Amino acid sequence: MIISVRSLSYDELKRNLSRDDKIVLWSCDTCVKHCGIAGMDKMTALEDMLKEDGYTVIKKELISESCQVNLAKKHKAAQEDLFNEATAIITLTCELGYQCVRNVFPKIKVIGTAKTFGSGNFSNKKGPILTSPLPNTGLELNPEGYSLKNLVETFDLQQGFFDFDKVPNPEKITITVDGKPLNVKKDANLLDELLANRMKIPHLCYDSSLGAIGACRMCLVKIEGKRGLVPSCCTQIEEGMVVTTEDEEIEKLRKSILQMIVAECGEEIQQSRDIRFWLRRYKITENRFKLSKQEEAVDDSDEVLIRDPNRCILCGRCVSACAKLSGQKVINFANRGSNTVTITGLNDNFANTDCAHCLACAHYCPTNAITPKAISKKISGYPFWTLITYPKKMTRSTRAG
Amino acid sequence: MIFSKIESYEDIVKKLDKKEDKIAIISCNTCARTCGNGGINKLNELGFRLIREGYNVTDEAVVLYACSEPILRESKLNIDDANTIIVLSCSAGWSCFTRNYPDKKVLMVTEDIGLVISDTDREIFKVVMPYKGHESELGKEYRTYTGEPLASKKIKLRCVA
Repeated sequence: MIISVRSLSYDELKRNLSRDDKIVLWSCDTCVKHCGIAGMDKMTALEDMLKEDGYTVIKKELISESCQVNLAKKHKAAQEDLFNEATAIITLTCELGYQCVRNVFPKIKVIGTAKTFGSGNFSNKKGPILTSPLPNTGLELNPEGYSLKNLVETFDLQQGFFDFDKVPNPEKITITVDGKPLNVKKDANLLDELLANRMKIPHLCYDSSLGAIGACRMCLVKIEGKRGLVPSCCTQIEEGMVVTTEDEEIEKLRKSILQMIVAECGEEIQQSRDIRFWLRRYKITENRFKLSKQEEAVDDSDEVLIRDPNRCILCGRCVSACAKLSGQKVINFANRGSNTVTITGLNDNFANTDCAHCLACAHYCPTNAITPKAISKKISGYPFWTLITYPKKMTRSTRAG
Repeated sequence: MIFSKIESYEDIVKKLDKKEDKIAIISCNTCARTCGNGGINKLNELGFRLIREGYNVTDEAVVLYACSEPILRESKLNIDDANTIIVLSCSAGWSCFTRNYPDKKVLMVTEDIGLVISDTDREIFKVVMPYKGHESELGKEYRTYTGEPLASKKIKLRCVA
């Protein structure tokens, strides 16, 4: 992974902006996120800070791999009008991502926020460490690594993300959840706030980086004054809301959804961490649905990714990640109703698509239907034909004859 | 992305002991594969050749990132039979294995050239931040998956040292 540290303070960043600027925040979702200075939550915090100080932020753009210039071009093409309106882009990326954005948006002011030091590791004990520094750092190759704290102190840079103490306190309102008052952010997403308050709400298709999809229906809740059950992931908080997250009807419905997923996808789906957790939580040991399901072939044609359609619950996270984060739209839904399936390319093998291998789909898949390929094999001798050697001058036709 | 170049086969075998070394070959499936030095193809190429020439290769593995300890833990590599590891990755991957397998000889068989930006649609990558000794590589472009140098420049970018 590439190791980067924040190089600008918040005040320095503001000095590069004018009050009239229409700002786009552009963040990478890979290495620099693991360095703690990028990602959707960091963009949201920066957006709040800038808005509080009177700046206009028109868009937050999350990109799966910012060092792929073709992905940046696709993000631009998808929202040409919006980027035409923008006058400044703040990049929460490494210097490579910054270069890509400058390449794609030559007429817009681009403000980089990070200094890149070289490549390194993600260590279980120390987090991100720099092991292979670039020459301008004056540091030597060190397998034990230099911690980010060391780099910040040595090069007089900025620790962590922009001053979190300057993040404005959001306006809070009180709603009632399961009969108890709860302080939540005004106009925020209901599911986000319930989860932030440590409430266990099952959800399979929602991730704050991807936004609401509303496909799995596991997060259904009851809201006073609204007809039927509503997905909390697609609901904005309103003053005086009265929410019920658990009762007999909701539990019965969630159990039914889980049983249908298992019936449709087979027993193997229970190995998925999220599904297993909720099956245990709702004490589901038997399944009342017995849907016949044809076993589909696993697609391992690609060098990097394996796609097992039998494990797909049609949550749409991979479709959303491929479209929104990478801009490739390699994964899509096909057919309608009960015949809906996810497909790659024009219903082709992964290997035959123009997948950029940014791994966003695998990262966001909740059931391991798309996983990175990992091969490990013990060698106990190769087949005899690998031991045959041909004289160098022998031609193909001579061999065949 | 990190661009590294693999040493020649002759240079790699100079670091090996045919009698004593029990070799595990680990290949990175991300940057190194894109630059033509890792992935399943390079692993097979090196593995076949070493076995054919009588080296004791005990294990072969492809890992998603060689530079990430959590990924390494998830991979559950069983390379206890080996006493030597060849890592087909950049030096960050080599560092990760050196730390995690202190009782084994971990060979560095690649050299870091620089940090690159890529265009996977056009199958090219460009050196933007070169490593020490490779300053002349700044701005040069290569073909992805092979590492073959390209004569013409396709990614228009002003590279400054």
